[in-house]
Amino acid sequence: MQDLDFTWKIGGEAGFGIMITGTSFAKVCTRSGLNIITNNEYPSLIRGGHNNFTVRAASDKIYSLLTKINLLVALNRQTIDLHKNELAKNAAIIFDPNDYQPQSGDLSENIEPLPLPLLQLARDNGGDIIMRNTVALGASLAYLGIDFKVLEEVLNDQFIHKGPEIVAQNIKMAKVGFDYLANNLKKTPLKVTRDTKETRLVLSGNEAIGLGALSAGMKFFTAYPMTPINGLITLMAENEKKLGIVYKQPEDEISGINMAIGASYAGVRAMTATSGGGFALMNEAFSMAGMTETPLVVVLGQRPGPASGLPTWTSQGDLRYALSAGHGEFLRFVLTPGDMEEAYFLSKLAFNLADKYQTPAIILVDKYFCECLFSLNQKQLDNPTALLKSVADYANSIDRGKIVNNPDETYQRFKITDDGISPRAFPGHGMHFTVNSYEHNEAGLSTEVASEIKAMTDKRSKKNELAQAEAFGPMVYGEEKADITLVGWGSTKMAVLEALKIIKDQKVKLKVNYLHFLCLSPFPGQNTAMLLQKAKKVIDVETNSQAPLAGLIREKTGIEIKNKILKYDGRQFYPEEILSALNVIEKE
Amino acid sequence: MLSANDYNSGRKPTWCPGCGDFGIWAALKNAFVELSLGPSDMVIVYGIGCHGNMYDTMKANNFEGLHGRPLPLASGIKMANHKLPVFAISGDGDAMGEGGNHFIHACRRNYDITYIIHDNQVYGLTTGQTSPTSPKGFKTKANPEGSIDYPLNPLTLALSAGASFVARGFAGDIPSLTELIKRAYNHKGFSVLDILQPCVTFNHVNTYQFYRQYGYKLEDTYDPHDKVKAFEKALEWERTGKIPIGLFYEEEKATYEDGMEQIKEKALVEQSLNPDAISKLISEFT
Ligand SMILES: Cc1ncc(C[n+]2csc(CCOP(=O)(O)OP(=O)(O)O)c2C)c(N)n1
Ligand code: SF4
Ligand SMILES: [Mg+2]
Repeated sequence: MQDLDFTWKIGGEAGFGIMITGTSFAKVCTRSGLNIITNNEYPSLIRGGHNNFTVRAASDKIYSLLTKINLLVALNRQTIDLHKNELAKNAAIIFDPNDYQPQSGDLSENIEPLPLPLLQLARDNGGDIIMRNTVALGASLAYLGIDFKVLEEVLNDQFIHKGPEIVAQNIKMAKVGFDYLANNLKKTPLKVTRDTKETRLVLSGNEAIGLGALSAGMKFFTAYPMTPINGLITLMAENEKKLGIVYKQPEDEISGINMAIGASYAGVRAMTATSGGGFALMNEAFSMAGMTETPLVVVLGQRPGPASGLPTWTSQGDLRYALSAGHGEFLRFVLTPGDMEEAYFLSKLAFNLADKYQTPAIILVDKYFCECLFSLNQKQLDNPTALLKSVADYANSIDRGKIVNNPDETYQRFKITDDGISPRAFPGHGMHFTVNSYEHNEAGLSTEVASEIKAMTDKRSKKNELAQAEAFGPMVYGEEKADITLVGWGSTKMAVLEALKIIKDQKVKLKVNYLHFLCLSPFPGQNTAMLLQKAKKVIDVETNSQAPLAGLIREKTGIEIKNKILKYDGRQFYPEEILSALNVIEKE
Repeated sequence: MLSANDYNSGRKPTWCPGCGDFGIWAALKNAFVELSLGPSDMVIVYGIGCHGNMYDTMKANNFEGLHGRPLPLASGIKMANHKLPVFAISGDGDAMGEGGNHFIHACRRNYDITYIIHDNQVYGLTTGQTSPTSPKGFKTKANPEGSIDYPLNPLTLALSAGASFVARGFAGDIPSLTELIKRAYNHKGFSVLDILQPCVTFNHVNTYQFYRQYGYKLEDTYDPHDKVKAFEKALEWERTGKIPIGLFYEEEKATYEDGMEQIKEKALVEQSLNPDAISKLISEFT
């Protein structure tokens, strides 16, 4: 197969199935042997506003989207207006000539217009306006020179639950578009030949976290609907009967987290998920998980705040919030995966850490990460990349921590131990015991005695010391010795790694490496200090306006990072943006 | 053989002498004995308030949670292990102020949980402020000139939200309260037991004497299966000043857990991981 690196975008009015069309396109690409990454942008409404879905597909390994589009499918005029500046040289644009006739000056000369009577083709073949997407999908794939059979398979898998007629109708629409374009195309299309050497999974961040949780033995999940974690709800709700787990939609987030704590206390691995606003409601109980030493995993999907902010856009504005949520002092883990493989393993890891230390663990992600699709080789879930190996090894073995199976009369739930961890028991399995959100003695009964308060606080604090050994990262990507060291966390990894790849491919002399943080509490202070002391010029890259990671690094290591590349317009980073910011800083 | 003393943690209660919480504690212990529910056989979840302080004196599997949140906690426990009997203890502020949302949703879901509300029409533990059930005109630290809020009626609220067992008890009549708690426990579904609990320190209106004067036991002829009649009875106090005590309404209907196919065979906590099913699910993401 020729080297291919192609970005496709479809845009149109919200409510016209753009998301599903985009997903189909992505899956056809992965089943044809390409790697993909996607993004979808949509406003917080159901009908009207502008939706778009972007897929970058490439034969090489890719880490992020690029800014330029090679084929734009415009289901309405607005799509052209909004996205024509993103068109790459020699890009093509599929539009319905009955909707829109390009005027001179609308599009630059090197853009190839591909007029396609989408609506008419749909109607002529027994479809309606909703089917325009599928016609356009078929046409797009003809442009890529993809084997139509792959699309047939994908459509079959996608619609089979709606019945064979729906499948047949979709295939018919796609075929009409496919043939129309193939017959009218002046240029030879690209040619993607099928390659099935590896099985590629297509996962969103939500799905990668959810599958990690399921394989960690999570049995109980609560979440009050909120973008961007709704995908987790769908995953769990669709599979709860099959897998013997429970998804419960609570009346609010306060209830959701308390339910999860109750389930965890009763003995099952439990998780809840939300975004900033919902997490605010959860804070009191989050603190209770710390006080009652009840394991709990919380997925926190960030979106721009304050308050309702931008519900369907992305941000990394809640780092400090995750690190300090909940009143009082208690240990929490904060894990920040930056790709689907990390999400899968860190999700499993979160359950082990929560159980081992009997405390809450947060998986801190963002809207872009939760909802973008990313392909990965299925084998990676068994054989993770070298950098992740030791973390994944521990994550793969289920560690439920210290548990007493049938406690007797001498059992004390909060026994003071050398390491601060008191063996846990489950109600209904042996001797009764008391769990208490008030400060308590070893038996769980309340105390206001100074010495007991201090002893119990010390017991919990000991876990902080012990947990420090669990801190890992930052992971170093790129050259060991570099002129510039970028630091970042979570999903910024994608754009940064792509930027490093571009630098390498362009054989620029500048040497750049990247420190990726994926465990921010406990913080890997020593390692960070060691790496940063060696670094020549450090630049902090974050999707927020206040650079909390830089602040945290300063707090933990005393090292101040002056140079920052920050983005806070609701959109994720593109590698090109990082490169141009880097050029500016480099010249300073 | 169990006895009421088997539920004493050894700690002395911290309630004011004469507090209605003593009567509820005694009736609960009696009921546990008669139901043969040992301290390790069940879970009791408590809210925060004078009522909740019971956990310190009660010997059992106790979970002292947060103010207003005993029901979500209790329902999480129930869903994870529905074989465990679960009791939830609240105050009026706990149940209908801080936890009002949870209350109505627990009623409509019909978990098999016994919900005991210590209704003293006041915030006891925070030393006497107005509660959602305080009568209009009630004077507290929070409303020195008398509350201008109308009170909530826990019984009509529970009835309209779909609770399948709705009763009113009185902390001053331990034998009858014991019977009522047993009935509430034996009812399959969400049982709401609103207990008139004199707060001798902060509520000088709803005293033992007041309840003895205006309270009466629901007649034997009263049929607790008619929801409309139950509403009428539940409105009697505010309409006539007479206070009926007993079981207002009981209905047999599927519980929340009955609807959970996943736990038909085994409690969730007893089920083990199914790696094959998960691998199969993962391979569907191609
Ligand atoms: C979130 C929260 N808000 C406020 C409080 C303070 N507080 C403790 S008990 C209580 C009211 C208790 O009233 P009620 O539930 O009727 O219980 P009672 O003391 O009367 O038994 C309040 C407001 C708290 N503990 N937590
Ligand atoms: S303040 Fe009232 S409710 Fe609290 S213990 Fe005293 S009498 Fe009982
Ligand atoms: Mg009260």
